[in-house]
Amino acid sequence: MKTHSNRYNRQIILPEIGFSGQEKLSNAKVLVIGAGGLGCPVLQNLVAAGVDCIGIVDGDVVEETNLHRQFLYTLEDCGKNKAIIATAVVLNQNPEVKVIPYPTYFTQENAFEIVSDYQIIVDCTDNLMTRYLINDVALVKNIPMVYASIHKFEGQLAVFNYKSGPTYRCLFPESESLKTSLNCNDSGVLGVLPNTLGVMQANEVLKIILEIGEILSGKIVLYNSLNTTFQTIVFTINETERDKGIQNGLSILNQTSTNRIDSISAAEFFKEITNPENLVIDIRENYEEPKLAFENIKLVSLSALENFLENTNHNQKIILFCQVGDRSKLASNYLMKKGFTNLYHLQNGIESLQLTAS
Amino acid sequence: MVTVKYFGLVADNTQKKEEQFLFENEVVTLNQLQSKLEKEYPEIKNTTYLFAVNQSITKSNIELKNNDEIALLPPFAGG
Repeated sequence: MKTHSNRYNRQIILPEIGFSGQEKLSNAKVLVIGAGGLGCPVLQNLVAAGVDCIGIVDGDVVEETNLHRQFLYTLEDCGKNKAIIATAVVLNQNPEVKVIPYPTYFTQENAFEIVSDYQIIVDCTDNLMTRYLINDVALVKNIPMVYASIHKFEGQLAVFNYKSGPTYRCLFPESESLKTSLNCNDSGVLGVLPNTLGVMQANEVLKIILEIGEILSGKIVLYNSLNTTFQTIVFTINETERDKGIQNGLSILNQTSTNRIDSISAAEFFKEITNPENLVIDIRENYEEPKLAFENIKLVSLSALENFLENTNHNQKIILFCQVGDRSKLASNYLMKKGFTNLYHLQNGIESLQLTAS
Repeated sequence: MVTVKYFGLVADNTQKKEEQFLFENEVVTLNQLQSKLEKEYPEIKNTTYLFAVNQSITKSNIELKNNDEIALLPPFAGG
């Protein structure tokens, strides 16, 4: 059992949580897709509660018009990637957790790579196409998806695919006319609303991890912030729609799994890094430890990788590594699409290496 | 008499959050209510929405009863 600092004392003393609950939190892996109006409060609350590992997916950059509702960012962050900034800010808030940035949009091509072994997906996106993709990937992986979305002064909250419960498609089957639904940029938003809904999403995530309370599965909560009303509407599984989601998810999985990158073991890795002909790149962020002390290793974070390789021969043998092997695989896939042909990555990352303490 | 509640884009179209309808016929189905609403607010025909009757999503054409509460629920996109 991990030892916990006093940080979590006030939640541990709740009989519903206790040390066993904190232990569950310190073993949980949660993926937050979208680090905007909903994503910011979700991240702040999950990190504060001590969720062990949190992935943040967002390809967007901070804009000044985000600042009234996305409290992880400041004016100096404008123009910078949200996943990268959010990671640094929440790690500063609680250095005891692991946070992994994925500075990219969530797409069919990278969906399964990113979701990897996360146990819960939090849908903080602002468009319906990504929402169906998240739904279908969650279905194939058999993990729950904690959903919220807003429209002007109203919000919706639900948990889909919880223990094989109803999915997003069961509620809203996909249709052409759906494209008329607006997002915040088009329709406007007061900052308190996404913050309210994001906190409620974090609450559902924590309940799922802690196995307490009643999960909002098969129900959608409608919140109206102007007259402060909540309404809960129930819905059931629609087998046809659920199957549509599974089929779509499986076809995405099959498409992407044909593009495999060679992974190398720890033993092969140590052999390769001593060869000066190879380009070995540590794609982790600056703060990630431990560092590997080989002069051959270049330190280039994920967001800077493309620029760094701009003038590199596409046949150059490149070996990428990160902390646990997920980002290096993702980056290899990305570089393959950019035309690089000789790519390897360290399977399971630096944590798979038996490093002696220095 | 039934109460009809509007959410999201549907409420944007109807310009109100809820209203009540009195029906002269004894039996009124959900489809008949939908026709009446689409006549009154033609824009909602271009909006995707679901019906909930008494807080339960209803996809079949059921008969409505006195005092039923019907909600028109569109998907939201904002985040």
